[in-house]
Amino acid sequence: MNHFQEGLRALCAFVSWFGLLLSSGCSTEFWVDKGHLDVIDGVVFEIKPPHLYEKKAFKLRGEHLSPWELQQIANAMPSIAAFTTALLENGSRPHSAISPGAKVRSIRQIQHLEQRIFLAVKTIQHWQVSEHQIQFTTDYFYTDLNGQFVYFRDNYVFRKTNDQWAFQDHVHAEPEGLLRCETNTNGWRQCVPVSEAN
Amino acid sequence: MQDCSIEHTQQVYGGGFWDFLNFRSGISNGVRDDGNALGAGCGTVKSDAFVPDMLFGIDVSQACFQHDQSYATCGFSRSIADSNLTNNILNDCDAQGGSALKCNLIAGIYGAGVSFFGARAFIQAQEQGCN
Repeated sequence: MNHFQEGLRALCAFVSWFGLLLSSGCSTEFWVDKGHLDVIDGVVFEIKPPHLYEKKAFKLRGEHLSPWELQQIANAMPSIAAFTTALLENGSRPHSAISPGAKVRSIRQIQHLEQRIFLAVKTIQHWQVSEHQIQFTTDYFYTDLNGQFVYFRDNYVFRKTNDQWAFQDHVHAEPEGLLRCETNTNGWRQCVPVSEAN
Repeated sequence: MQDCSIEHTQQVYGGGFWDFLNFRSGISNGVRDDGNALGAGCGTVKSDAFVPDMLFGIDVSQACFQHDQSYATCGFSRSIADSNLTNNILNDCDAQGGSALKCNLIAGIYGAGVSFFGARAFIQAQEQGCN
């Protein structure tokens, strides 16, 4: 195949794809996210506002969770999402999803992040569920001064008291900390703590 | 009889028409490959399947997810969110080994996308984020 044919093929493919993007854009429904219900093994998760994107960060597939464990997480989801939002914003603000007297680490303080730096959540995963307790890790990310993404992981324990889920403690005395992210053979980014990568 | 894998066939006959795009939405059988909920990357719950999280072999999902979250943060400026998206794609693409041409093309496509279609999404996300 000569260069002209290759170029034509590339141009046609790109124009077709961009046309598809534009045509679907005629319907604003495609671009406005009002949330949805996600059903996993019969358990319904309300991926809806408030805290829509924190709920979207819940990694619930591929974690080998039983329906009972999924149901526990579904019940705790609103509290965990609200807690995560509070951490992203500041981390020190009192919040109803934090048990009285519990002390939570601030990612912003640990990483010395100014308030103007936008801190986002990547994934909430590594679930360990029992009747009154849920453990998990949260991966955060932000853009450093060089414009590169920095990934950071911390661990949490939520406890159920009087049918309310709230942050109780951290699983470990220290966060997992900075993550090293590398692309796998399929081109997707996979992150592990720097301490484990070395 | 000789067994032929897809990879072997592509080596002999070349890839498919779309292969050079290396276009991936990160969705298989209606769910995200990374285990997160639909819309936790590029696109919303309804558009996640056809808005690529990977284009030309570059993973842009984190830049998109950060952009979505900044739209949903009460009081965040749309122009800053859109400009961050473009810059993040450029830097992240460079970090993944993309060429300057490829990175600028990808950043341009997504930048144009949010400029054209982001207004309603921003208003809606701000209403949700400020309540």
